Amino acid sequence: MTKTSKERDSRDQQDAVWMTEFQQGNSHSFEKLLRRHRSGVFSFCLKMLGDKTAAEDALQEVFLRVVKSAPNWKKQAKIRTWIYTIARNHCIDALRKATHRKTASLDQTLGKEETEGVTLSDRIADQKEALPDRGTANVRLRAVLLEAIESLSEEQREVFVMREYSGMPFKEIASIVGVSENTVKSRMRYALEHMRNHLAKAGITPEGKDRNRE
Amino acid sequence: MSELEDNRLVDYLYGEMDPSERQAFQEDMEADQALAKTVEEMQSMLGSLRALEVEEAPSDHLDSLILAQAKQTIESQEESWIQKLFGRPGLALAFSGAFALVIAVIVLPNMQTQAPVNDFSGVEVTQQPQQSASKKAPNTSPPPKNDTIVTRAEEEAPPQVARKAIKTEQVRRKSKQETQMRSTFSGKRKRAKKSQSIAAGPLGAKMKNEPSPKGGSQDLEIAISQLGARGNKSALEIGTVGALDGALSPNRSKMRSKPQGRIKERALPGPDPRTKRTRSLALADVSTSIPEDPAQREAWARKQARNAQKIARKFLKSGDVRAARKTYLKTRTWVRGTVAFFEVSLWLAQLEYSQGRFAEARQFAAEAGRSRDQSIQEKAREVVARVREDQSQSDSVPASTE
Repeated sequence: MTKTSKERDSRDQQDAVWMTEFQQGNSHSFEKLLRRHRSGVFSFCLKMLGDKTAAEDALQEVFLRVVKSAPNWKKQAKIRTWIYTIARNHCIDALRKATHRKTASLDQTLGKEETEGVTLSDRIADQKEALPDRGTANVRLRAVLLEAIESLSEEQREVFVMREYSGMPFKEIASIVGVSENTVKSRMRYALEHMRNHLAKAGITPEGKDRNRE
Repeated sequence: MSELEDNRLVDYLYGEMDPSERQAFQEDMEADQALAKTVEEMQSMLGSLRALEVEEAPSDHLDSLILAQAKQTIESQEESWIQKLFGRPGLALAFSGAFALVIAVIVLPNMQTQAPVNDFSGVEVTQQPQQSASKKAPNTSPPPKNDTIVTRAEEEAPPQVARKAIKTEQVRRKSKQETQMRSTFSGKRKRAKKSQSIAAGPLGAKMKNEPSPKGGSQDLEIAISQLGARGNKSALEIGTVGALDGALSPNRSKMRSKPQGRIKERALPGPDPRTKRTRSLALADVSTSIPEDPAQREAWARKQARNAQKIARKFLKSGDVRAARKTYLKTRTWVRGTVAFFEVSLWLAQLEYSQGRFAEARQFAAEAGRSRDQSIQEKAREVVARVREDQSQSDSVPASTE
């Protein structure tokens, strides 16, 4: 997942070339940019928003903003940093809008289209019970980990996701988030601590073993 | 745990430490079991997370959807600036306002200044004078009574515009009638036309710009017309303000606020001898400007004589002896009673002698001989002597031939 600095530099240079070509009217260059960054941006949006449909909408919106802002892009800015800044801003806006609805509360009933009276906690418990023994531990571990990520604060989550899922160096994350590198590392440290505690509460060892099943 | 330790832990977990820093951190872990346990648990958790990670990809159709939307966005960005401008109501309104303001600033002043000058592009006069009516296409509708002017402006433009056009046309026709009446009165229509053409030309424009004692360029225009009608040829041909002033102004001395220039001097030949009335006007006018003080009168007369001499020489160079003679005669009349009178008489005598008019030459030489100036007397005697000599030769030649 992690890439060396040389690889990152060459990719950044290639990104800059494609963006310059796109500014000159080459739409194929934009397609190349999209294919390179779509997975990382989608993953980031998915972890930030916690919903695949919302993440797809976010991905669509992010790249449309890239198209609209392309004439103003300058070579000094890294394409990846720029795209992730757009994605982060979009996710923050989406999360703030979602707080008004607060549909993701664990105690709140789901929508009418789904099973009435069933909460998210029940659904997770159902998933645990419904899964077969083979791979059950991994599925549960994955669910708990996702739950732990979702329970992170917004600031910690974005840092954790960008580092862990997008493989960004802390310096670049700092420029995207707009804080110092030390602050980013501190947030990362608190995020890791929070997740470790969450796993411990869920009865999962750091190695991923379920103490309840044992 | 301090911020520094946080950073070191994170750097160690993510492999962003130098080898020396890494070695130092490992030594710290060996010394601190709690730190070592924390690091171990976190490494295990991250390992599990990475092992369980399933790369989730967006839907396949999303790429084509994004590309289609991007293409549409690019096309909308490439629309012309006019479309962008008029797509924004505020900008469009501001642009329209600025355009209207520019039009108002440029066009309206021109309309105000051009209208009185006779801009009748939108005016159609149904009852024209006979000569112009004959040239135009026949008007099928009967001409309105009382010389009514029907304009297109009346039909299309607001009433104010129509009234303005009618008034301007009336002023123009009235002025034309006045000019024609003056020309008819003097019986010199050709000269009147010539004066009108001068007034309409660049010279006329220049004259209109000169300050008029009577206040207004219209007076000057009428004056040119009058002069032309009365046959003031030199004034028309030379076309000087001085001629007009000299002919028309009752108070010439007031108008001499500025020094007299070359053009002023050329005006002195003034009236045509065939039109006694104009000549009398000019003489009478000049007589009013003769100073009463004897010393000033002498100086003035001398100056007039010198000017007359210059002008007469020019006439002589051009072969117009008659004009030169009249110039001297006129000046001689003005300077009568001064020393300059004898001087002018001498010049006249010389002129007549050169033209073979011996009787006149002797007469003027006799008048010049009465001068107290010795040089004038001698020159007068010389003229008389030559006349006698020539007369004697002319008398003897026929005898010898006979």
